[in-house]
Amino acid sequence: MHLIKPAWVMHTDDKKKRQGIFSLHVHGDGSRLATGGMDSKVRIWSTAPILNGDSPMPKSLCTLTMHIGPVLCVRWSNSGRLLASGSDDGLVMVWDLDPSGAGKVFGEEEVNVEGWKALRRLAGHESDVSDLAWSPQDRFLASVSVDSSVIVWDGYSFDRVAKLNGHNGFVKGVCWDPVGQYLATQSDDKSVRIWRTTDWACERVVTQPFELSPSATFFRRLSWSPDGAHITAANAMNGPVFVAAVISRKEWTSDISLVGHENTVEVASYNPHLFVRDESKPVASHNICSILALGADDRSVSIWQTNQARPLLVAQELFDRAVLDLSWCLDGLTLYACSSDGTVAVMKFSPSELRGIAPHDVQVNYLKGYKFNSPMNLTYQPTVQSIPPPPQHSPPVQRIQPLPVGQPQLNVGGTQEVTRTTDGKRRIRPVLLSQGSSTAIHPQQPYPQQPMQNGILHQQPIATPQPVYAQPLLHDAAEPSNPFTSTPFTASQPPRYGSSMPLSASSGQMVDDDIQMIESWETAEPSSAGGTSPRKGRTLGGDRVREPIIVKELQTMPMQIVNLVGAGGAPPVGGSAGPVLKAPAPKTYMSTPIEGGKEGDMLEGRNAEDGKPTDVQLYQNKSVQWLDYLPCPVNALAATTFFYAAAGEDGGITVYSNTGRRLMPTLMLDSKVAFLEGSKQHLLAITELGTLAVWNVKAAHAVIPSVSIRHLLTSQLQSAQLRPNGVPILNFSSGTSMSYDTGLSSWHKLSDAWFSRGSDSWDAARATRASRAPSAGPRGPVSAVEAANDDAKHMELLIEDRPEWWSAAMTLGHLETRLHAAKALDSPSEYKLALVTYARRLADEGFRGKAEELIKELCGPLYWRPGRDDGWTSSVLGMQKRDLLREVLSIFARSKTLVKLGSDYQELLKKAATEEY
Amino acid sequence: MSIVNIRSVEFVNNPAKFTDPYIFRVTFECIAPLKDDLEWRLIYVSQPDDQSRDQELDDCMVGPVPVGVNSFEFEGSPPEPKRIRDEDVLGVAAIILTASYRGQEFVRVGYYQNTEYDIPQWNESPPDGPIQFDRLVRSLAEKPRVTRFSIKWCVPSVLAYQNPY
Repeated sequence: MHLIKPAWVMHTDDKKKRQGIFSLHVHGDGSRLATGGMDSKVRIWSTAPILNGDSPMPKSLCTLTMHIGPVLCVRWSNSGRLLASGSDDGLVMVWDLDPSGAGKVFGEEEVNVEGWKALRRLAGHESDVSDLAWSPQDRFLASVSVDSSVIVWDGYSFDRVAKLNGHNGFVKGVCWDPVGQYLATQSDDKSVRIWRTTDWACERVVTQPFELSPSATFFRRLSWSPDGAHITAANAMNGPVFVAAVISRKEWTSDISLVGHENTVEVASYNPHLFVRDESKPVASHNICSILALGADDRSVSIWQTNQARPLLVAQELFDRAVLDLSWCLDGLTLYACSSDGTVAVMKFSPSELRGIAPHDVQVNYLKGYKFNSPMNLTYQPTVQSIPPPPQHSPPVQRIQPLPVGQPQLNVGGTQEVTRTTDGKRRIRPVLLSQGSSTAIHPQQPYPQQPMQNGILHQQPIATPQPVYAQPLLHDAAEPSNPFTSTPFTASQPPRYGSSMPLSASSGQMVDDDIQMIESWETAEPSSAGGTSPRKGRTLGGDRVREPIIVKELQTMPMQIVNLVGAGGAPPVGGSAGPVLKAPAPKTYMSTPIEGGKEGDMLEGRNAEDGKPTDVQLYQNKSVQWLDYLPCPVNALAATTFFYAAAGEDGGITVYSNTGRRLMPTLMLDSKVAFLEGSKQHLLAITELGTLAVWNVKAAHAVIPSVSIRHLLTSQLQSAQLRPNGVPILNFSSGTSMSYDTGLSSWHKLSDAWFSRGSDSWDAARATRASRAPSAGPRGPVSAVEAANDDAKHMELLIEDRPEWWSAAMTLGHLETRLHAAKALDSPSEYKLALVTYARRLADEGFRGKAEELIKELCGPLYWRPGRDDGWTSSVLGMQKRDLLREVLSIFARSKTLVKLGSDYQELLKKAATEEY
Repeated sequence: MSIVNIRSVEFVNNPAKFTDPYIFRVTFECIAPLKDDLEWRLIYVSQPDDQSRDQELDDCMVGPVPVGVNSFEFEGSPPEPKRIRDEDVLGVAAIILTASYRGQEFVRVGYYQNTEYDIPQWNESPPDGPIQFDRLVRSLAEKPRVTRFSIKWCVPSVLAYQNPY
C-alpha cells in the first residue's frame, strides 16, 4: 500500500490557517475529489496531482462559497453528474457543472478553473445537515440532520418525498441498502433505524450495540455492505470497548463487533465491490466477502476483510485529530480519508493486496437474489457517467447559453427597464444573462437518457481512468528528501491490531511545498543524538551529555524550613497554619513533558544526593538545550511551549524562557508547591498550605493573586488543571469541580456529581470519560470536567420515590451550572450546546416564566445599538447573544407550549433588526 | 445559504471625477424563485466612526428576479460635499453596496475609495481656501470586502409525504 498525504488539499480561514475537513467524496470516475470544511466551503480538487505529484493538472478546480456554515457532508451522485453538500446552515445544496461559471470568485482570492453552480437549494431541515446519501441509481437523496429528522428528496425533481421522524436525537449518519429495500440512519439517541423504502415506515430500531455509546462523536456514518447482507455502524460499544457493530439484515441483530480502535469510531465505509474468496468457485454467499474501512477518534484508519477476524491493516495516527470521513474510489483500490486536523490521506492498494474484486454484473446478479421488487425500478447500473475531464489550464471558453423557451415574461438579453414603485423608488428589471438550471431538469427524464443538459455535452465515460491509476508510485521511503514520497506498506504484515505498524503523518509523505507541513516534518527529524544542532550557536549546557540517573526519593532534606512566625508565638495567619496538602517528595530525578510540545521533549530536574547542587535542564530534539543550577532541590516542574517552571523545596518558583532565561524573578510562595501546572502562558501553583495563585508569565502579572483553597478541602483535592485562558479547575474526590472567578472574587462550582442523581443531561459527560485525547475534537472542557467527576465518585444513581419535580429541577439546575461553567472555561461550543439543550427542556416543560427571562437576558434592550452603553453586552464568548436568541426562539416556536412566546419574540427581533439599521 | 449571490460588480466609470455619478454593473445569480424585489443601496462613508455622516447615494428596487444569472446597472449620485467634513474629503473613504430582501440585509460589499486632486502638487500642498471639489478625482480599489448575512428567504418547499410520528 502507498500512503499519500497531499498537503495542498486544505480548507483555510481568513489567516490562511488550516481548518478541519468534515467530509470528502471521490467522484465515481476517480477524477475529482470533493471536500467540505469548517470554512463553510465546498472544494473540488483534481485527483491526478494528488496521486501523481508530477501531473500538470491544476490542483484546485473549484471552490463553492454559498454555504453559511461549516460543510459537514459532500456526496457525488452515483451518476457522477451532481454533487450534494450538507451544511451547518441547515441546507442541502445540489451542484451541477456550469461551463460558463469558471473564473474569479467574487470577494475571494480564488480563481475557479471549473465552474459549478447551485442547481438546487433544499431547505427543510431546521438545523445542521450532518450526512447525505444518494440511493442506488440516484432515485432519492437522503439527508439527516441534528434536528432529529431524516428527509428523503426525489433524486430528479428534488421535491421532498418523505420526512422521517422517529429519532430522538441528532441524526449523524445515513446509508442506503444496495438492494433498494431499506434506508438506515444512525443517531445520538443511541439507535440505528431501518426504514422501508416502500412506505417509509420504520422496520426496526436497533439499540443494543449503542446502549453505552458516547454522544460526543461528530458523526456516526454507517455503511451498508455491497452484498446487502450487513450494515456496519459507527460508534458502538461492546462493554467498555469502542467498536463498530455489524448488524445483519432481516434479523437486525448485531453479533459481530469490530474491536481495536482506542476511541470512538466516527465512520464506516464499505469498499463498493464484492470480493470473491476463491475465484475458481462459484459466487455464493459463503464464497464472497467485503472490504470495510473504519475511521475513528483515535486518529487511525483500519481496513477489514469480512472473512477475517483481524484487520488487514491499521494505519495508526494517520492524522493529528479525529478521522471524520472515508471514501472508496470505484476502482476498489483507493481509499480517501479526511480529518478534523484539516488534512486528507490517500491509501492506494495494489491489486495483489486486495485480491478478488468481483465484476460488477456478479454483484448485480447477487443482489437480485434478494428478490426485492424495488419501486425504484432497480437494475443496478454500473456505469458512472464521466464528467468532462478537469480543464488543463485556463477556464473553458464561455459558451452562449441557449435562450430559454416558453417564458415570455423574462427580460432576456435586452436592456434593463426602469419603472417607479408606488412609493416613488426606482425599480430596475434586471437583464437575464443565463437562465437558472433548476428549470432545466425534467423529472420524467432521468439522467442516463439525457446526456445533454443546459448545452453541456457530457462525454462518454472513459473506459478506465488509465492516466491516473496506471502510473505506480515508485518512491522509496528511505528518501525523505523526495518531496513526493510514499511509504511502501504491505497489507500482509502481522495483523495484530494496535500493533507496531509504524505509520505516522510525520514520516515523510508530505507531497507539497506547504511550509507549515514541511516545518513540522523537519523538526520531527531527530538531530544526531547527544550533539547540538549545527544551526544553533553555543548554549548554556548545550554540549552536556545526558547521563542516566537512578530515580529514588531523597533520603534527607538538605534544608529544614523553620517556621519563624510560629516560633515567635504570633498567631498563625488564617487560623491554622499546618500543611493541608501533601507536596510531592523530591526525587533524584524528575521530568515533565512539554504541553503542546513534541513527544520525547522534556524539562528535567535532578536533585543530587551527595550535596552537589540541583540542576534543571531542557531536553529537546534529543539533546540538552540549556541548564541552570538551583539553590535547593526541586519538587515540581511544569513546561509549556512558552515557558518552563521549576518549583523548589523552599517554596520558590523559577520560570525560564525557551533559551533558559529567567522570565520573571524567582517567586517565593508561603510553602512548598503541591501542584504546579502550566498551560500556554499561564502558570498555576498550589502550595502545601492551601494557597493557590495563577500568573500570566508573558505579562508577568498575577491573574489570580494568592487565594486560599483551605475551605474547599472538605474532600480530597484529586487534581488541578489550568485552562489556556488562565482559569484553574480543581477536581475533588466528592465529585465537585471548582474554579475561581476574579469578577466574583470567589470560588465557584463548575460541576457537581450531585446532578448525576437526577439530571437527564448528565450522561453526556460519559462520552468524554471514554476519550483518551483531552482537548481534541469536539469535546470541550466542561464535559471533560463532568466526566472527571463521574469518574471520581459514583453516586447512587437510583433514588426510589423521587420527589415531585425531581428530574426537571435537577436537569435545569445542571444545565444552568453548565452554562456558567462553559462561560468560565471559555468554551463557546459547549455554551451553545448547553443553551440549546436548556431551551429544549424549558420548552418541553413549558416553564414560560423562565423562558421569558432567558429571552430577555439574551435579547437585551430592544433597540440596543453597537456602541451605546447601557450595561448590557451584546456577546457572550464571542457569540452574538441575539444570534443565540434566534436559535432559542426557533426551539420555542416549534415547541408545544411556548409557540406564541417564541414567535412573538421572533417577530419583535425581526422588527428591531430592521429598524436598527 | 443565500438565494442571491453576487458574481461580479463592475465599475463602469473608475477612476472618475469626484462629482461624477457612480455607475455600477452588478451581476448576480438567483437560485430559487423570489416573490419580492431585492433592494440595493449605495452608501458613502466618509467617517467610519460616525454613522450620522454616512450618505445614501442611491436606493433602488430590483425585480422581478427570475432564476438564473441576472445583471443590472445602476447609478448613484456623488456625495454632497457640504455633508463631508473638510478633513475627511481627501484620502481614503468607503463605498458600500448593500442588498436586502424583505428588509433583511443579506450581503454587504465594501470598496475603499481614494480621493485626491488631479494636480499632483496640490496633494502635497493643498491650495488655500475651500476644497475645490471640481478638481478632485476618486478611484475605487478593485478588491471588494464582502460580508454575507444569513436571512430568512421564506422559499416554500413542497412536502409530499410525512410519516405519522
